[in-house]
Amino acid sequence: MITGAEAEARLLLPLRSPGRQFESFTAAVRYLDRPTLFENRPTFRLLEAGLSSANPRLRFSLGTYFEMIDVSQAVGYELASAMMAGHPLSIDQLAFRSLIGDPFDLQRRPTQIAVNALTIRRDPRSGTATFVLHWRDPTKVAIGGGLYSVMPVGVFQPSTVDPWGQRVDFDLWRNLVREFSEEFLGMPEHDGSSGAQIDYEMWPLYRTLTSARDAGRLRVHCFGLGIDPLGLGLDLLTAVVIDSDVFDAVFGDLVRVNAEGHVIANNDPNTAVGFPFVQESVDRFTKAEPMGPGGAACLALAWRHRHTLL
Amino acid sequence: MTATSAYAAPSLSAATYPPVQMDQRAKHDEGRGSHGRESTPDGPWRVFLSHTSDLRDYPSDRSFVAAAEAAVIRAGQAVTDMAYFTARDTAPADHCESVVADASVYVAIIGARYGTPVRGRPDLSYTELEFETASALGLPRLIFMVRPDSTLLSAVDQPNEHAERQEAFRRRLMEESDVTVAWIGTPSELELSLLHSLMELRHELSGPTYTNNLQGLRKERYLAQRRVAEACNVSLNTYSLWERGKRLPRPDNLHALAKAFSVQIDELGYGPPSAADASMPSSSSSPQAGPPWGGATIELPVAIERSQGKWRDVRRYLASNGARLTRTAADLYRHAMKVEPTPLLTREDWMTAEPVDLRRIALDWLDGQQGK
Repeated sequence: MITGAEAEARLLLPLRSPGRQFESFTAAVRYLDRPTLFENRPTFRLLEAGLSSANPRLRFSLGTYFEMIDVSQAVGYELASAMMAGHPLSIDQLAFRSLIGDPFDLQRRPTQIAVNALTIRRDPRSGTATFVLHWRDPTKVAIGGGLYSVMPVGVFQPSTVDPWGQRVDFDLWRNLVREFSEEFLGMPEHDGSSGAQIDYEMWPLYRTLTSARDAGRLRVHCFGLGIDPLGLGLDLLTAVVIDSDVFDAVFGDLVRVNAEGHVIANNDPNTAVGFPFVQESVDRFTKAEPMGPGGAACLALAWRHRHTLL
Repeated sequence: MTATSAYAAPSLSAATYPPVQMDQRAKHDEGRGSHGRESTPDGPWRVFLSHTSDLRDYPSDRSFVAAAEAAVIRAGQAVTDMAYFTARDTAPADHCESVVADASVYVAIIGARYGTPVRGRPDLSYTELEFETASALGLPRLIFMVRPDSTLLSAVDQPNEHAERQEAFRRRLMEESDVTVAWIGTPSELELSLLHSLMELRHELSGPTYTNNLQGLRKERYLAQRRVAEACNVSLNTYSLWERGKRLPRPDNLHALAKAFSVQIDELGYGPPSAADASMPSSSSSPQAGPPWGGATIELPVAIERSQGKWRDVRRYLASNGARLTRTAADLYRHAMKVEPTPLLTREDWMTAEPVDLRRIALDWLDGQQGK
C-alpha cells in the first residue's frame, strides 16, 4: 500500500537538516506549517463502496488521519509544484500520482471519507428553502482551506480512542450530529482525542435532532461517493433538509466563526438564514466561486433532485 | 598595474596544511567523477584553484588567490599542487590535464583577463583548458566571477581579441548547467563565499546515502555514465552524484532514468530512508555537525532554508489556487465520470440513482485481522 514514504513522495518533502528530508508530509506540516487543527486521530478507513444497488453499503476498517494526509497532501503538492514550474501536465509527469494509479482502487492507498452535508432550511409554509455555506480558513484546517464548502463537513471517525467507543461511533448519523454541534453551534469538537465515550442517548442535541429525523422533519439524503481529484480524498455526498421551525429552534444561535473558518449564512435579520436555494445561487457556487468539489457536488445534486428533497 | 611575473608559491607550514597522499585515487576505468573523495572520505579534498596569474598578486595588500587559499584551508581542505602555477603558462596541455585530474574539487576565479593561450593551442587559454578538464572529469565546479563593476578590476591591458574571448568564456560559464556561479567584488567576499560553498559541498557529499540501483542497471547495459547523463539531460557530475547516492534525482529525472534504462521507476532501487533519518530533531534548522574548526562563522542551513522556503511557497500556492488546481487534477482523469458540473470524480456504482435515506446505507466492518 502507498504510504507517502516512497521515493516518489520523498522527493516532495523539504529538508529538515543538511541532506535529510522530513520523513513524512505530516511531520513537515507539523513543524513548518501547522494549521490550528492538526492532530492524528483514528479514522474509519473505507475499503469498498457499492451505492447504486437496492442494498447500498460501505465497508470499513480502522485507519488514522495522518496516514491519509501523508498521501493526499503529497499528491496535491506534487501537482501544485509542477504547475508552478510550468511543466506540461500529464499523469506521467507526476511520479507519485502515477504510483498511486487508479484513484478508485481503495486498497492502494489509505482512505477515509469526509461526510459532506449540505444543510437546507425548508420553510413548509412559504415553500422556500435556503442553504448555509462555510468558508474554510486555510490557517485553521489542513484540507480544503481557502474554499467554500457546505456545512457541516466532517471526517467519518470515532469520537474517542476507546476501542469500544469506536464501535458506538461507527454510525454516519452520530458522526453528522457531532459535526452539527461543532460547526453550527461552535461546541468543542468530539475530536477523537478524548478517552470518554459519548453517551448519545443522554445528549440533548442528539435527542432533539434524532426525534426530528424520526418525525420526518429532518431528512438526510445520500447522493453517492466521489473523489476530490487534487488530493484524492473521498467525499460522501449528502443533503440534510430541516424544517424551518426545527432549524430555528436548534440552530437559531448559528455561530459566525467556528474552529474551522467563517460561516457564510447571509445573516440578514429580515430574511431567512442562508442563501436562497434557487438556480442562481446554485450556479454561482458550483460554477463561479471557489468551492470544494465535494460541496459543489452536494449542491449540484441537491438541485438536480430538488423535487424529491423539498 | 598588471603584475604578471612576480609569482611566488606561498609557504604553508605542515601544521596548517594537512598532508595529502598523492595516490589516493581508486583506479576505476570509469566513474572518474569519484576521485579522491570516495576513497578517502575523511581526508581533505584537493581543491584546484584555477585563475589567471594577475589574480595571484592583485590587489597587492591581499590578493584574490591568497583569499581563496585561506578559505580552502579554513574549510579543512587542501589546495592542490601549488608548484604547478609557477610553470603553468608554458606547460603542455596534457600536463595541465593531469594536475586537474588529481583534484577532487575545481574552483575558478574569473576576472577580466583572458590569460595566456595554451602552448600549441592558441585558441584556448589555460583557464579554459582547466575548466574543460574539470568538466570532463565530472569534478564539482565552483565558479567565482569578479563583478564587472568591481573597482578592483579596472583597466586590464590585453588585446581586443582576448577581451572578447574572455567575455565569451564568462558568458559560457553563466550558461553552463550544474555549475555553481557566485559573484564577488573583493578578496574578502571571495573568501567568505568560497568557504561557504565548500561547506555546502561537504555536507552534500557527506550527507546520507540514498541507496539505489543505478550503477547495476547501467553496467548491465554497458552504458557509460556520460551516456546516461546525456539521456537525462544532466551533467556527468550530477549523474555521478546520483549513482553514488549523494543526491536525489527530481521526479522528472526519475522518469528520464527509468526511460534510459527501460525499467519502471520502482526498479531504480530507491528504498525507504535509512534508519538514521527516522529521528526528528527538536529544531528543524539545527546543523548536524559543527564545522571542523569549531567556529560558527558561517550559517550552514542555507540549503535547508531554501528547501523549506520552496516547500512553503508551493503550499501557499496550493492554498490560494485550490479551485484551479482541482480542475487541472480532474483533467488528468479524462476517462473518469464526474459529478457535473463539478470536477468531483465518481463512478456508476458509487452513485445512487435517486437520493437514498442515510439510514438505508449499511456499514460493514472489516478488521484487517479477520480478512474476508
